[in-house]
Formats: sequence, structure tokens, C-alpha cells
Amino acid sequence: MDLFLRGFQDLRAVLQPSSGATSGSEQKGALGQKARGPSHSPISGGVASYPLEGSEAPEFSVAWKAFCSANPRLRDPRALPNLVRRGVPEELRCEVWGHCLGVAGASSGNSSSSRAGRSPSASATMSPRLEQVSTPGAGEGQGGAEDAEGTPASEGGLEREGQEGEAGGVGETIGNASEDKVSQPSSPVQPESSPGGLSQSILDVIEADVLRTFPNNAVFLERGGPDQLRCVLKEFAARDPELGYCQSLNFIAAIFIMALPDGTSALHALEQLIVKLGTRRWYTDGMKQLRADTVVLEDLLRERLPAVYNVFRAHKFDLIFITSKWFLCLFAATLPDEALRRVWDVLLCDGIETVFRVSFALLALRADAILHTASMDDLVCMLQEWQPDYSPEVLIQSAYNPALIGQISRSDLAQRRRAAADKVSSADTRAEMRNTHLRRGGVRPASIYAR
Amino acid sequence: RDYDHLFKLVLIGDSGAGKSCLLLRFADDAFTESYITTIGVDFRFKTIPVDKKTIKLQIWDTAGQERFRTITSAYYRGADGIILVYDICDRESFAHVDEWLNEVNRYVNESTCKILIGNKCDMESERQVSTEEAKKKADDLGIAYIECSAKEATNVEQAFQMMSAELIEKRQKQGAGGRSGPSAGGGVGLLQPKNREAGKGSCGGLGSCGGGD
Repeated sequence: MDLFLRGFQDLRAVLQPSSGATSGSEQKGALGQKARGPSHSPISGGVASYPLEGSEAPEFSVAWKAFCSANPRLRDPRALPNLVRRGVPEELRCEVWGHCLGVAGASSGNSSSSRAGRSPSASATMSPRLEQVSTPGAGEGQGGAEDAEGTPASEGGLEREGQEGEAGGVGETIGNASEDKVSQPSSPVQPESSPGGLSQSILDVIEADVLRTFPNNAVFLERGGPDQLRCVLKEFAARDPELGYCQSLNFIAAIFIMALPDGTSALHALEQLIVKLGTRRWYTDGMKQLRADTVVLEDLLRERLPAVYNVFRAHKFDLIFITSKWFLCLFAATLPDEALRRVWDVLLCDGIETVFRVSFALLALRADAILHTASMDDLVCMLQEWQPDYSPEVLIQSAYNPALIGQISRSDLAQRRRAAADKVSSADTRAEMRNTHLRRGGVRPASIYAR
Repeated sequence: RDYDHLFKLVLIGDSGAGKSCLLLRFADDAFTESYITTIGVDFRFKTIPVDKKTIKLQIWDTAGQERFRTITSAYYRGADGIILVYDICDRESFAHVDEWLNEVNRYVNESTCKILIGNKCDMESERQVSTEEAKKKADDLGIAYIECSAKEATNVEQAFQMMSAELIEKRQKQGAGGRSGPSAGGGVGLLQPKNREAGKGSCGGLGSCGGGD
């Protein structure tokens, strides 16, 4: 209830014609790299390209207002994705993200403090230590079953994808998640005890990466981002010892730290995100699901963007070069501030499908340049130094343009991911058998050569 | 084409050893304290003159964390030179040198040029690995050793020059032309089972994962 009232009051304040522009110019972005001018405010910048179902597409801000008043808990499963694709008002982002991931601190009670928390002056009030998990019931606004996706793969980590929708409260969700992930009894978040369980090598990598995460982002630094990041990553690693820490999670956690009220919300958001996207095995040893999802993207390109696919093939360009950055970091180390916010709005709402759609769109929007590359060097450098010369709106529109990538149903995507994961697993097994055999000094049997 | 020889180099070594900084120094003659974690692989190329020849170096900079090896190992294949970097102020990173070499030797020829770089030699007061010890290690492994500082631009250019000169010599001995990869002429030992799979493999990506090989 508080959530709704506060959220709605804030929204109303934002939606006043006069205050809309000023709030845009005064506020730092959630990701905080630069203060945005009014012209970049998502409130004024949203172009209605995806009409709301069953009604005339209203003005962006009016649409959000209407939605919030009809859906105090942001629950409407059909309207929300449409609305989110058109942009999320800065003031609601924290709540929308929290809602999509079922994270307590972000989607409920703390909504006003979260906004205060964004201003650098409030950083002193935010403890770098993680606090106790929020009490059950605090997460009244969390996602319902509509957010649950089909399970993409049958492997352990991916099976959890659907659980989010079934959990009743946030405390419960987190309890389930830790029971599921951690073999030892789940315990409340206790940062003091967590480092004890972590190997020195993990602690060293985390320590090094804390200093290598958005080191030029003033807001991140002012908010005590590095200290919070250290705690979040250690705690995350302690709660999921099999995954531990994988480089790239530092960027994702840092985005959450900047966008959500505190380290606890950031930790839970990170955990929920991986469950929701079914991407835990992107990060575990062997990175099987990452390699599988690379094959899925490759197949989509072959089917739906063959010109680009053929160039990649001609240059013997391995898509893992792209996916290892785009996928693992969820574009956090690739896209500029505003574009990243817009992509994450949709990503957190729609799930893994968005990762493929956005990757596809990034390549499609770059198709001309890709087709004109003369060599692999050119291609790799171009993709590496790529800076978007179009607006975030164009990117989102392209990602959901039916004429571009077209339909990908959830079940189709889940099926593709599963099939690719199986393929990768069996290829790994064959390679392993071959190596073991050869290490023993054996002769390669003909059957292994045979394709 | 605007070069006499083209060589593919790969930077490997523990996370935080300074691979990206070395590359930044070499490619752009720059240094920054505020660089970001390398995820996956980064790429740069640079053309340099060596012994009156123009050499084009394609350099792949890899993520150091162990679990990225399934991704980065695809880039070892077909490499002409391997640059193994450790941090002289971090004994752990030196202790992992053998491990890195074993890993890389699964994918490249014994004859592939390798060089060991002790980075951060500007931080003498925090040194944990002596030059003598590192030299001995490199001798035992039969590879060249050089200490560098990406920060102060010490020996960085020299390291790449050294490697290029060796690669030119090797290629001239082989009598091969400009572009052919080293694996073309290399023998395949039983301890390098992956050699014959150049271009294939179990990593995701174009042309691979198509039901194995």
C-alpha cells in the first residue's frame, strides 16, 4: 500500500508538466554517469511505438500514470511489457526493476529512500555492509507467475527459472533461492562471516575487480560503490559456492548498486536476475550455457540475418568474441548509459529473450558496416570500438521490430537453448574422451575422426 | 598488403598481472590506472618495423580468470606467439606459470614462440619474485624472459620486438611465405591432442558446435 501511494505521489510530481523537465535536468541517471538534460529525459523522449493493447496509445507519461493507478502493484502482465518498452520514468525505475525481479527493498517500502539514495549526498546513510534480509511480506509488489519463463535447459542451475513466480514473499523467495543453491543450511546475510568460506584466490580476484569496475563513474564512486560492490560480490560468492565469483558479475552488480537503494537489494537483484534469465551456467566453470547461447544467436543470425552471418563465416569470426562481453555483462560494459537503462528496463521485464533480441538488433543496425569490412581485423576492431550512432529508442524498436528478428516464442527459445546446451555438453564429452585417450598414449580410433 | 609478415600473438596470465596495460602501452603508448576488467577477449593490431621488415601483429588479450579458459583457448589455436605475463609483486601469478604453459601447450605447437614477461618492475619495493628466480624458470622452460613496466614503458616495445625478431627468424627457416600459420608445418605430438582440430573445437561460435568434430 505504501508502495503504491508513495510511488504514485512521486509519479504525480514527476508528471506535472513543469516539474517533469526540471527533474530531468537535476537528477543524475540511475547509472549515474552524467547528469541528463531535459531533452534526454525518458519522460519527454518516449515515442509511442508499441501501442497499448485495446486502446489508443496515450501519451507516454499519461500511460504510466494510468497504469500505476490501475495496477498499484505493477501487476498487469500484458500492459507492463508494452509500457516498459517505451521507457520507464526515472523515478519509477527502481520500483519497476524491483518488481520485475521480486526484490524487496527496491519494489516496496523504500521507494522514497531509494530516490533519496540516488543523490550523492545520501551516500553516507548507506551502509556498505549488507543488512539482514528484508522480512517476508515486504515484497508485496513482486512479480507474479506471469514472469516465469519456460525452463531453457534441464541442467541444475537453469531449472530454477520458474520458481520466482511461485514464491509468495520476497523473504520466501530468497530463502528458497539459498536453499536451492547453497548446500549448507541457508543463513541470513551476514557479511562478517562470508569471507571465511571463500578461497583466497576468489577474494583476490574480487578485490582486483572492485577497482576495475566503472572506475571513472563519479556517481558510483561517490555512493561508496566500490565498498558496496566488494560486499555484494563476496556475499554472492558465499551464497553460491559453486558459482563463486565470475568476472563480469562485477559490472552487473555495480549497475544494481547504482540503481537500487542499497547493497542488500543489489545482491538479491543479482541473484534473482540470474534465476530469471536462466543464465547461471553462463558463469560457472566451463561456461557451458554461454557457449550454447552463442550457438543460439548464431543460428538466429543464419536464419534471419544471413548477410551478416555470411560475413562472419567468411572472416572465420567467432561470435563468442561478442557474446562473452554482451551476454556475460548484459551489455553493461558495452552500451552507453541511457541505452543501457532502456535495455535493462526491457530485459528485467521480458527475460532472456531480450538478450537475444538486443544482440540481434545491435548487429542488424550495424549490418552495413559489417558487410563492408575487408578482413577479420577490420571486423573485430569495428565491433570492439563500436559506438552507437542511433538513439536508445531506435535500439529498442529494432530489437522488437517484427520485420527484423521476427517472432521468437518463449518455448521456441527455451527449446533452442536446451538443444544447444546438449550439443555443447556432448561436444565437451567427446573432446574430454579424446584427450584422456591421447594422454594415455592411445591411437585415435577411426570413430573419433568420423564426423 | 602493407606488411611483410603477419603474426598472431596471444597474451595470457593471471587476472591482474597487467596484460591489458602492457597491450595499451604497446599499441597506444599509453597507461591508465583506471582500466576495467577484461571480459572474454580484446583485440588490437599494430604494425612495427623489425630488421627492415614491416611486421603486422594481431594481438589477442585474454581474460585471466580460470573459468574463461573454455572461451579464450579458442584464441590460442593458430597463434604464432604466446606472451605469458605475471606480476613480479604477486608470487601466486608466478606460481601459475607452469599451469598456463601446460594449458596453452594443449593447443599450440611446442615450436610456437613463447615469452615470459615479469610485469610491474617499477614496483621494486613490493617485488616478490626475484629476477634470478624468474630467469631460471624461463631457462628451464626454454623460453625467453624479460621484465617490463607498462606504467613506465620499460621494455614493453622491446618485448614485442624480441618476439617478432624470433618469429621472423623461425618463419624464414621454415621458408614459409607471409601469411601461413605456424601450425601448418608443425609436427603433432601426442601431448598436444588438440592440434589437429585447429579451427574447430567445442567452443560456441561459427563453424563449431555443429554436432562435434
